[in-house]
Amino acid sequence: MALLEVKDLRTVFHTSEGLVTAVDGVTFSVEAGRALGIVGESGCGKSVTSLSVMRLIAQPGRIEGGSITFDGQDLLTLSDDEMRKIRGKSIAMIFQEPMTSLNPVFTVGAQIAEAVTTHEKVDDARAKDRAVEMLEKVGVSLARQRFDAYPHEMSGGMRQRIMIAMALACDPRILIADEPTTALDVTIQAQILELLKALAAERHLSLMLITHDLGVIAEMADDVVVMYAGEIVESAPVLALFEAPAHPYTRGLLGSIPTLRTGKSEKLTVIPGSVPNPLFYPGGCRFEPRCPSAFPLCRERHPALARVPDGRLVRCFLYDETVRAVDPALLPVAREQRAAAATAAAPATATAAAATSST
Amino acid sequence: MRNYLFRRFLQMLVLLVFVTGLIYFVLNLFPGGPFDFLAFSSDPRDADPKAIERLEALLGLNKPWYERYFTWLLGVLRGDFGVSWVMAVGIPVGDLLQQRIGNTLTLTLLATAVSLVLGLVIGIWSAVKQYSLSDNVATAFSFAGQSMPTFWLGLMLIIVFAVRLKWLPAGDIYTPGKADDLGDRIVHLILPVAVLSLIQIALWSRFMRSSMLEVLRQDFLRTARAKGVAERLVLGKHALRNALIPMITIVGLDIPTIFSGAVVTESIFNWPGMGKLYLDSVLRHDIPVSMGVLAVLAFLVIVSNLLADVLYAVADPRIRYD
Amino acid sequence: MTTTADAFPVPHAAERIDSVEIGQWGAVWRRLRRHRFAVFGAVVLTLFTAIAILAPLIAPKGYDEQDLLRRYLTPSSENLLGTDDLGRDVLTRLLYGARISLTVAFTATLIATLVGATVGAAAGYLGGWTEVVLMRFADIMLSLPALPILIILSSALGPSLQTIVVVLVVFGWMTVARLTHGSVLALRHREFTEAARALGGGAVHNIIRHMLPNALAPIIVAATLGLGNRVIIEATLSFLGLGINPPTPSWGNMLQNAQGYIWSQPWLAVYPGGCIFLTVLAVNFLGDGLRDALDPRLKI
Repeated sequence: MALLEVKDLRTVFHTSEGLVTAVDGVTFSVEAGRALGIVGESGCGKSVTSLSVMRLIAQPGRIEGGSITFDGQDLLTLSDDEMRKIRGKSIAMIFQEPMTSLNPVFTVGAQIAEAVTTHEKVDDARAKDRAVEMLEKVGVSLARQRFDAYPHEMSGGMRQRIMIAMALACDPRILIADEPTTALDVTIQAQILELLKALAAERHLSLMLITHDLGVIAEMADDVVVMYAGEIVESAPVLALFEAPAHPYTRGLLGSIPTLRTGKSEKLTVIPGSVPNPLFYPGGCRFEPRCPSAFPLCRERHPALARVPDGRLVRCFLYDETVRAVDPALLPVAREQRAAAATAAAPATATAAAATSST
Repeated sequence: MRNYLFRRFLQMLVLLVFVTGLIYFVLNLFPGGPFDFLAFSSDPRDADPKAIERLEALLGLNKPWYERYFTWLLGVLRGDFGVSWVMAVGIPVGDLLQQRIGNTLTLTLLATAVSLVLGLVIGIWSAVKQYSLSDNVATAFSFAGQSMPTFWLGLMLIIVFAVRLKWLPAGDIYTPGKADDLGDRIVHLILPVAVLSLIQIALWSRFMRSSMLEVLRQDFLRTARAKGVAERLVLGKHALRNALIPMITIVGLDIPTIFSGAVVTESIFNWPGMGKLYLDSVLRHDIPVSMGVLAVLAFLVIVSNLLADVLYAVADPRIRYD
Repeated sequence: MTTTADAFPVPHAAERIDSVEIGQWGAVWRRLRRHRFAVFGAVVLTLFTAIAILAPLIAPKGYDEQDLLRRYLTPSSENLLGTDDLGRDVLTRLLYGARISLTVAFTATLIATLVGATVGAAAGYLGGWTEVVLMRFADIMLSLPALPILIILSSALGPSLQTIVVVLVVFGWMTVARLTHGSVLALRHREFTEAARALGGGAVHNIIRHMLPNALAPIIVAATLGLGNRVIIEATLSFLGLGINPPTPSWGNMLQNAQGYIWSQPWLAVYPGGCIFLTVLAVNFLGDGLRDALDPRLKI
């Protein structure tokens, strides 16, 4: 049994313009001691998913379906009070904007100490000691003096460290990190990520990392879940995902990252079009309008998340064996292999083959 | 910070000297002086211009206005506000002020306290329950309060509670013969305080509401919730502490306004305070008394401005004056 | 960046208006129409303005017509709202009161807005010492408690219409000045100012054609709300005997008169105050609606 099992989660928002299903039947799990990365564009529902796990969704949003099982307990059945006892103590969360995520009128030390006193019956002195301990753990020098500092006196990187200290103060089992480094300088990003990795290893902490940055995923995650338009479109171990991305969206994402090996005149993959309007999701596959491998069936039927031979989950008809109409030659992986083979044989034939294989 | 405060104090002092000077100048533009009554005397010798000139010279009234102003200013700094010309001829203005200031202070401070408590509570409630029925009612009340002239409100309340229902007295500070009865005094305070504070409540609840709304959108509240902090602490500790900061400035700067508003309230309720004194002195051209009240008001403006600055710096750690 | 407030993907960017361009007045008008209270306010204000203008034509009697045999009458067909202590028709006096009070308020608002806009624009455009002195002066005036000084100024200048207008302007230009100053300051640094200068327009021409339209929105709101304020201040001063004096009726001095009769004829106090209240309420609704319509982001 995984530490956290999310099954079929549905979170909707009743907006004045209509019903927005931000999270539509999402299923994933986080194992003890492992790191799960949730990756996707803005608006795909990854943040809402993490907030749903913490049950921090406020009106006009509502969690309307599914289950979130943590340590055997369904969090969605808990009362507000019971959930409050879990937040910060067993499951903790850090957010993207360290600049605005700390209360400007309280000292950073007081805010960390508050995390302790909220869940444990300790006196102020002991709480202060714990806070100083945590400050040291996250790499803040002169911790005892820094206890009395105010957030505005610190840099972005420092504040994120404070956030981490606050989150880990009660030794939670899972840390949810929603874009923790997006707002930071690149060098600081690296430091924070290193810190997270070290702390996770040291405390056997599970990580749920939400980001749009594949580099962070590659660095930190053990397993990856790719989200698009409120759904999971691919779920795989990190290595498998990067070596052989299956879903066309994932392939597009990976292709759009320049690497050291990308030639100067090589074009980055651009996924044409834009994310669908969550008020009006298409009936078929939600990625179909932008998919280079789409075929008629994709517009008619909505693909389910299915297991493929190598063990990962993909939501795409290209990998659905029940859809007999699929021409194996259309499969992106197969296509590449053929293209590679053809290039080795004759350049002219390869271009012709590539041209005919696209729909 | 001390530097800043000192500089501010000096600035305000200069400006208030300037303003009072200007007012003194304007006041002296129109005719009228302590010896006007002599013109009505039955004895024709009293109206002799030479005699009047001599009397005026005695009082230093023949000097140019700026000289007289500085004499007055220096006197004020020593606590000497001069002598009344008309209302209580010969009586030191300082005495008149002393008699009245207690009454006005009672009224003003009580009204401020009431307005503060109710204004904050209503504002916070409105913000937390935004767009609910109580919020809409509070908003309507706030609009009504800001659209109402104080004196009309006062008159209406007197008509309802004193004339029609006869529950409360229509004015005065105590019922004759019951000067020492605290209960009687309190009953007499109810309507004037209500009038003076109703409009402040309307304003302050609105400000508090928008300040609170601003804070309720902030990310750090989400962080507090994610830590597992109870909702009442999220609002009562994390949010409130931030929302109160702008209120400090607003309340601090409004205190002189409340004090001034007492002019009208005291006039309706026949309250023997400084407001009424001021009004009477203006209507009867008793310049020393008018200037005396203005001096007290100026002092109040300086003090409340500085106090607002200090409290603001104390409350918001991001503010550090250099 | 996500906050719980916008934790869901908003399909369309909320309408954002950074500056009101002339062509967008249509959208503003539409938004204003939907604001029920603002519409109510506009209607009531127009009504009172019409009354003010038409008072001499529609008043049943002269405002100064005394009839000592018919004093303190309750409403009747002859005197729709009764008569006052001198037998004068209350309704007539209310109508003329509207005329006086609104004339004063509108005039003062117009002048104060013009003065304020000029000062603010000058300060913003010219910068340097001019800006510092002017804005400091505005700040100083704003920090003073208005009523005591208004009282003493009106007393010195003598009770009359002109006095009230003057003192209202003296204490009313600052808000508009600060708003204009802020707008001009913000726009001074934008490129189109450079372009306009390059095209040769003089300073005044620049300000009027390019900067003022953008500064207009908050000025309109401030002027509207200021109107209500001025009605109250005029009424207060008249009530205290320092403004419009009888026999000229103003809502304020009618209330002063009524004060003496609250025990016997309390209704005399209800009408004039009620008129003030309704007018200012209407103005406040309208101003609030304008503020929302001109910048939906500012909705409070």
